[in-house]
Amino acid sequence: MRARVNVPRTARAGEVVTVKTLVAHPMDTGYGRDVRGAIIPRHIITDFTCNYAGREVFRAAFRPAVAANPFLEFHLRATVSGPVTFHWRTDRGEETSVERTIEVT
Amino acid sequence: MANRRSLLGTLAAAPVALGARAGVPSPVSVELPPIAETGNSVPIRVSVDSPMTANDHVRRIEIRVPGNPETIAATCFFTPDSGVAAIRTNLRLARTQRVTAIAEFNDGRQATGYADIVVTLGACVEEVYP
Repeated sequence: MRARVNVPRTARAGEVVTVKTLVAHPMDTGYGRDVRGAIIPRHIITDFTCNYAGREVFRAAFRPAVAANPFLEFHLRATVSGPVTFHWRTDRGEETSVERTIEVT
Repeated sequence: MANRRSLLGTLAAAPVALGARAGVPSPVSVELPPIAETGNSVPIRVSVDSPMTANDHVRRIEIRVPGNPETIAATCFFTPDSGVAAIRTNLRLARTQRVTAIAEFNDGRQATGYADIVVTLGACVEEVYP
């Protein structure tokens, strides 16, 4: 479950920046079948959170209708320099995190 | 194709059921391609017109895909620090349908927007859900 995140390195105070995230994950819906006809059990990323400046600023809950290798673009209002952390969790409890630093000028 | 015809009937009735009225523009906009060759990964953008201040912001956007086996595709939760209530992602769509986004504001108000899409070949769910 490798994650890639794109956050601008610098931003002006108060500027709204665009964040893009992409995770490598099959997002098996639980409806698909393998070549033998057996149902492939559900395995999806269910939760995504973004924390910045000590607060949760954005959160998303995914269901099977989100495509494989989930891409998500959202926004943040840059207020203080510091880390922006991203966290994903699957329905089997697997977790992955990414941290980026934004410098606010 | 009786199935498809009944689906189109449902699509035609949907705006009334969702409270859409002529002449009242919705603050919620849903952008989808008009046609998708496969439903495996369809780009969608949902945006809500809101100042995103502490007193007036979008709390939640729910994306609904009623033509899929499960109606809710994703739910996004915003704060004033989100700056803009807009997201982009990719959806799996099982068939031709109307994709709806429901926005909930901090005062509990709700608004909806939608876009119709023709899916030539649905994401592979037909074996289990005919």
